[in-house]
Amino acid sequence: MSAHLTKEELTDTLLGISSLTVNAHLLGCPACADELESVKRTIAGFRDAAHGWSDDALEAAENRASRARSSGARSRRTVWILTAAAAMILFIVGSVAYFHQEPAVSQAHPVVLSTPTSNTGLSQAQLDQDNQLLSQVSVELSEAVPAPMQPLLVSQSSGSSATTNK
Amino acid sequence: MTPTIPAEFISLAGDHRISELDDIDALVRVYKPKVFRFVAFSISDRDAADSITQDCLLKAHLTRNQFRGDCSIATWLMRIAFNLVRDHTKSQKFRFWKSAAASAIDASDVSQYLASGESSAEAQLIARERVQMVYKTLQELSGKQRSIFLMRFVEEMDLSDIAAITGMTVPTIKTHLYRAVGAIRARLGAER
Repeated sequence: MSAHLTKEELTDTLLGISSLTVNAHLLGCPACADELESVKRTIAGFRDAAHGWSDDALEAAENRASRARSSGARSRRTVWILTAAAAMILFIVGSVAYFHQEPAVSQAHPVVLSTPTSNTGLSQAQLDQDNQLLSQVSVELSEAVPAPMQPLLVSQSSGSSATTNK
Repeated sequence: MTPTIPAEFISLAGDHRISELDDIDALVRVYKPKVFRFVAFSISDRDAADSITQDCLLKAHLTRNQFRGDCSIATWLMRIAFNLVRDHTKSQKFRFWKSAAASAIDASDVSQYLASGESSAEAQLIARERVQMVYKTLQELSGKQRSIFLMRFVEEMDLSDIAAITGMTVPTIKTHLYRAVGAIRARLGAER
């Protein structure tokens, strides 16, 4: 073999499937041997660099993922704490508002017994009559002696007066 | 984007490797670096590669009942990854964002990971430039040539496994490799 190696022969040698003829040529041809060595070293250098780069890239990706996981856990914990604090504040504010509002409710709806209002549709005379009736009822209720006993008392008082008159 | 499981991978024979697929944590731990590396350098996008890798491993776990142990788990996973990469690169989205991806892999960044085994600083610089040159050459290859180059020379897979993954014949695989290596040689020759 006088000519130099073809690209097929050189590649086959790189693949480890070279023939005896090619091996013999390489022993006697420094140019082809140098070129083969150069290509071999170049590809081997690329392989080593590719392995180093990918190992490092995977490690960096794993670190990023673990940081993201821990950051996510911290965020979730923070959200829980904030939610609990917000709920507690709402409960306190709600309780205070409720207890402050109760007297206001009773003031807002006072029980009006005899106060005349403009929108009842009753005339002043009727209102006066009603008030008079209510006052009478009130007087009767407040008397110490019940109504059924009154005629007896009246008769006793009239008897005594009769005695006095005598 | 459901990966099709090649018929030759499905047989009635059981295998202890099937049980390895049941443990998704172990699957991720053992095979993620290989799948991620292949996908990342195939599509040249770190974030998309991470997403596709997870998709690949999840699909493998979910369809583990279809794996009959006729090939290695690595080969089966690479077949799924190869299909996912093909689907991804076909999409319009990929074409539109390819040039503008913020997570695009930088050639000079990759070259920084080259082990400093060179004797001098100058030799180290040359070696790093060659890493960048290979990376850039890969980007100019067709998707199939790039994937085949990565499987053979970066993942160091057998030609028969690559043929099973890609559905091509071994001579076709070799033809793609001849072109890929030829492109790298041409760049190296131009540098000298």
